[in-house]
Amino acid sequence: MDINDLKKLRDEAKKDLELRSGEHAYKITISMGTVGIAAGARDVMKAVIDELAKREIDDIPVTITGSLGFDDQEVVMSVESAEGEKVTYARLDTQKAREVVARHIDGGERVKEFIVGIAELPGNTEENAS
Amino acid sequence: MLEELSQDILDVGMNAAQAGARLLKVRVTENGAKDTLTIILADNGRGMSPELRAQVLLCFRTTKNNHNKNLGLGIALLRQAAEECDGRFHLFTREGMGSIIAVQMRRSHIDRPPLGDMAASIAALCCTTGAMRVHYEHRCENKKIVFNSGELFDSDLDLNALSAKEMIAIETILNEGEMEIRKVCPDTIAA
Repeated sequence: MDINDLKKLRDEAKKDLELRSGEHAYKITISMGTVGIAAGARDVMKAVIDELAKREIDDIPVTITGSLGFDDQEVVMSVESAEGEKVTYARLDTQKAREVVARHIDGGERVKEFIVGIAELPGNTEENAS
Repeated sequence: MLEELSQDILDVGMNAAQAGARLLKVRVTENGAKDTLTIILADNGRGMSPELRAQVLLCFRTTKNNHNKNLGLGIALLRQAAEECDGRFHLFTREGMGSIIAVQMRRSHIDRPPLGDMAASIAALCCTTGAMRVHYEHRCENKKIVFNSGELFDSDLDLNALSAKEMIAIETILNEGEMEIRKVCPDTIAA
């Protein structure tokens, strides 16, 4: 595989990502600050991506951000829905993260055991504007 | 200390993302003859004031009482890693101009952490929130690999949104490159 294969893949994927209002309308954000990294956030990310790929879910963007403010409960990951609901999961390891992908992303059911917070975002302004 | 230098690179790279950088350059150079390992991270984020620069260099002093989220332990940890391995550390920064962090350490030093999973760190840095592009270069002896995430996007403004399939592809490409490098120079010297 080289960069040209990747570009081809990119063109295919772009269509999927643009149609993000479909069935799998989520966005995953993983906290990747110093503490998160030390707690294994990078491995969690790999597990999440692997699990998404296994389930052939290709329309969910995964991004990383700095500390989300739960340093004592890393690894932290949030799942945001198109409706603006943001569910934050904490104390994750690779196995738990796979479970979140399976049950929340694929199954549409929150994984209560790992939740530390749920927030409703004030409207999806950017999407409403378009 | 983090277990792998690639984790330090991810950590310090995240600072660049949070400083609003559009471009992060990461260059890792291993030189067997000189017995050096050099890591350079350069970004065009908002840079640091002299006060902030002084703060980030003080280990374990800044994060909790200061709500400025752009600083943390990352830089101090990388500095510590370098200095424990007969190394040197430099931080050049100017407000509004970005930052350059350069560390060099003795490659064969017994305490030198392995580089570790560089592919995972660089792949992760390719999908920070925002539109930071990553230009990565890894050299060892006569081998050199280059990866530029900017090639994947049409415009500099496109936000990083990659599918799982793409991220796996990025990691595969990076891993293939790293394996080529590892053929000529193994990550850890001591058996």
